Amino acid sequence: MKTNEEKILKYISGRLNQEERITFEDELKKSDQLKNDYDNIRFKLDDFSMRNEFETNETYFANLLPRVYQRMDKKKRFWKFGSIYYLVPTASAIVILFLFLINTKTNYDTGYKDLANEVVNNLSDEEVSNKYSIELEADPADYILNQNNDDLSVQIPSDLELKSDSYTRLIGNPLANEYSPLRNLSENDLEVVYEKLNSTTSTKVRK
Amino acid sequence: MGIVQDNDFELINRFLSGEEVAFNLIVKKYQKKIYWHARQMMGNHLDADEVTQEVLIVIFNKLKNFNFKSSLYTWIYKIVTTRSLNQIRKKQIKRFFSIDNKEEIELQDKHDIIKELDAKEKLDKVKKILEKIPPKQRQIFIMRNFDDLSYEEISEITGKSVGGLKANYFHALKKVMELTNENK
Repeated sequence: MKTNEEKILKYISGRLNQEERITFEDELKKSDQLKNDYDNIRFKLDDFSMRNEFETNETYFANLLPRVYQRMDKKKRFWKFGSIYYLVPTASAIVILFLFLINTKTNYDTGYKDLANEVVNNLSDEEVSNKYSIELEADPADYILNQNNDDLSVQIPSDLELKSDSYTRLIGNPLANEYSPLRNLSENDLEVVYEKLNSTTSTKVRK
Repeated sequence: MGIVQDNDFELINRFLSGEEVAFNLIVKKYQKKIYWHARQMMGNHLDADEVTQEVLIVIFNKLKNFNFKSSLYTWIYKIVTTRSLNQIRKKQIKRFFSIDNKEEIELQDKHDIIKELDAKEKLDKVKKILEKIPPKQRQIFIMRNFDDLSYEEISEITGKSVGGLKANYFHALKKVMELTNENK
């Protein structure tokens, strides 16, 4: 059977060449065993072509088209209105994100420009000294007093100068909130601000 | 069965000129062929129904691109086979991620359009064998055994050479016989 099966399957699938096919068909007429095996395989394969034997529920096919139209309508409606449910939140999220980014940038720019203008251009040395050195405790004298729990008896050295850590304190001091854009300044701009403060504060201390 | 053309081109032209009834006639003519091919490929009613609906929607939307070079039946068949293979892939992925599909089996049973128990059992037997054949071999096997298509027609649908199809069909037959003998 196994040898016959291979041959029969090759015949059925059309893999025999013309000569082999003619030989096979001759053999099929002569050999009962081959005929028997062939019929057997055909019978088994017929199980796979039995659609017409089934009694099906015809309502399914009758309702198929209306269901398809319904589905297409749903799709259309989705693209017309339903998509709003997705579109609106997505668009809102994008707008909010965009505004947030713009706002951050604007704050930064404004802060930077305001501060730069205020410190470097518009304020006099005296004003800068008064405003920044007091509010930011950048005045070395205040700093020493503060370090000594405001003990007024502490001697304040006459040759006081702004220490190098004043710059760090200026940036890190909570009181500097009002001037927090300082954090956003570039190294060069900070240097300018620092120089300005340094000179005015030193002037004040010297006074 | 073979490819039936009749007045297909006329129906398409009528549909393209705005007569929706023509589409209904096309559906009426081919819906069972579409369903049964999908059913054999998928092995159950629910998936076959999904594929059939998708195919009909694609036909409705894409008929305007029909080039009148092939028969409508071949064109539809291309869509059915592609959609069926896609659905099988989707199912394989779903199966990979889901542990229990008991509910799905119950649902399929409830909605099946075959009412007779004998027919159901027979179809189930076929399904169990077909699902063990690789999808592409299964496709050729169904087209040859179930839809009675010639190699030339299958070649036009799948874009494969006749020689390749014969080899595929031979291997599918061998596998089917092996499984049929095992199931005895």
